[in-house]
Amino acid sequence: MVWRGLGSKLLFWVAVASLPALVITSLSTGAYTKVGFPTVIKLLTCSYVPKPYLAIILRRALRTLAAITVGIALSSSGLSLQYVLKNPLAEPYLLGIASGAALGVLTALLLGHTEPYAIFVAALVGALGTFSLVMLISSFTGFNPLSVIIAGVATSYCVSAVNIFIMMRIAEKIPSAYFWLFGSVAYVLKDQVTYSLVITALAITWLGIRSGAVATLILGEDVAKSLGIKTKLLRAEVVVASSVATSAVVAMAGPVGFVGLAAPWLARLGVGTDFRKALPASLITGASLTTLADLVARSALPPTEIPLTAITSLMGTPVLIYLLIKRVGWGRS
Amino acid sequence: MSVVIKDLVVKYGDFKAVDKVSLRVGRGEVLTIVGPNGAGKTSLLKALVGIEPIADGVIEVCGKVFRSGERVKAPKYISYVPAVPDVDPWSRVEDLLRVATYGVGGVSDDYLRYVAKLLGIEGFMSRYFGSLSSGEGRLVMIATALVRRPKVVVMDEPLTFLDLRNQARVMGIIRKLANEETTVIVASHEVHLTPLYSDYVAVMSRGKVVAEGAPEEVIRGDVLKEVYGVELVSTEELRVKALVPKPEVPT
Repeated sequence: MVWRGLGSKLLFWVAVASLPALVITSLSTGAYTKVGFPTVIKLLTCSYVPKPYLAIILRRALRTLAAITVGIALSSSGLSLQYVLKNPLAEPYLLGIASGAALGVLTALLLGHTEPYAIFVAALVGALGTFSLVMLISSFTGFNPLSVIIAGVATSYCVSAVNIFIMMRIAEKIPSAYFWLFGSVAYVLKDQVTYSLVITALAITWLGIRSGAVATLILGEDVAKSLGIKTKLLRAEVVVASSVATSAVVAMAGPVGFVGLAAPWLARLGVGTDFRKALPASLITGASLTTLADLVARSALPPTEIPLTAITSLMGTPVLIYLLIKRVGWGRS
Repeated sequence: MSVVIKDLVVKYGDFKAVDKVSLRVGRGEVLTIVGPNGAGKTSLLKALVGIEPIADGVIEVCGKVFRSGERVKAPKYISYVPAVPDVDPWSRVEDLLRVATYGVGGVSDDYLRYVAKLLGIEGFMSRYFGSLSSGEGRLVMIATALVRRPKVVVMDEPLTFLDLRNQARVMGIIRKLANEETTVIVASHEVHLTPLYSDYVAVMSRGKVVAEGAPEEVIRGDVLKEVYGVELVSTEELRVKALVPKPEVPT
């Protein structure tokens, strides 16, 4: 028992400690092998680096920043949804929020809108619409943690099928869109990253401001109300903030799965279940996981880029299986 | 007076769960509300802590007055222990105690340890709530109310699910709170234990208070028969010896 506790804490601290190393490795890794670790060290120690090399490092920095943005957005979103839905399996991908956001983006593209704000608004509308549908379906089964996830996965598959149909219509015009549909930060643009990062930061700031109130939700609806919390309003705020963060990164990098499940759980096992601590902790674990996933995506089968979801799913599914086996039964008590 | 309830009505649609109830509880006094299922005890407590709105009447908590159409909003003074905890099973006990101090400025490690020791839960502070027994969960919920250092504690069925040892412990804690000038309002089905820790008892039936007074005046066969519809006799009459847990007031 003690060892198991230590193991989960250790995993969290490894994720925290490895983030700087992962970022430096990310800046050093890529198709241009001449620009590697020594060049990055030179840059960090303010030594001379040739301009073309600097451009390559900046390009990798943009990609790394995009991966970190995806990580912090999805992990904070997943964690928050787990608290407001009191469901340990909740995360934007499994609940259909990510595929809903993707549906919004693809619909906007189909209609000829390519402006960043239009893409983001479309993603948000798609995310909230799909989430509402999932909640409606789950309401017939009493919001049991498993039934919510099953409704989410079913809706997500259905929306993904529609996404593929739309993709076939627009693929001729935007060939890289196929790649986007499976999650990738390989071809992100500076404006996209800026836009996504700013919106994500705003959503996370809001979650941070409300973290004390969100934390009380674990005490149950009635006790939270007795503490003066307007629980319905708070839940709506958190769902919107989570959907905003998810939509911002889906608009940039496509739907990336399981980060919103694995990163929050690494954080919760590491620092406990107090939302005020778990939120900042999950930002770090999320950033570490997606930076690692992006590193694997570009270096496992060079020069081919592997979609991010393929890697994050490998990280996230063991967590899902662990929770299903160990913990989900508690929800039935 | 710490809590004054005047002509309180609590409604669900057209149904009056609490119908013109008036009660007064002073500082450091323990009031226990008894009555059959559906009598309106829980609805009354929920209105007291701001979960249900006041349909009609007035509630005064530590000098703050709340009227018809309002909800009581006095979380700094009043803490609530629900009958059926709706806690996230994936929460650690220590975190539950810490987040429960929302709005009252957190809790020191020393006070957290003190409350945990008082309830006898110090051994499972790092466990998940879902892994606890019902009785252990009840003790944790009482602890979440006490860490806020409230002036009024409202407890719905604090003695259910508890073994004899823990019933003695919780009754003792109720007396200790009263000795320290905290007002305690309890709803309970453990009618036979009520005289052991209560200063006053109110009997509710169909949304109304039908009897109130000192325990010896109210916990009587004739009063309770009318409300519960069963014959209640003293153990002397049955010529049996019944044992009850002796409240253990912590020092």
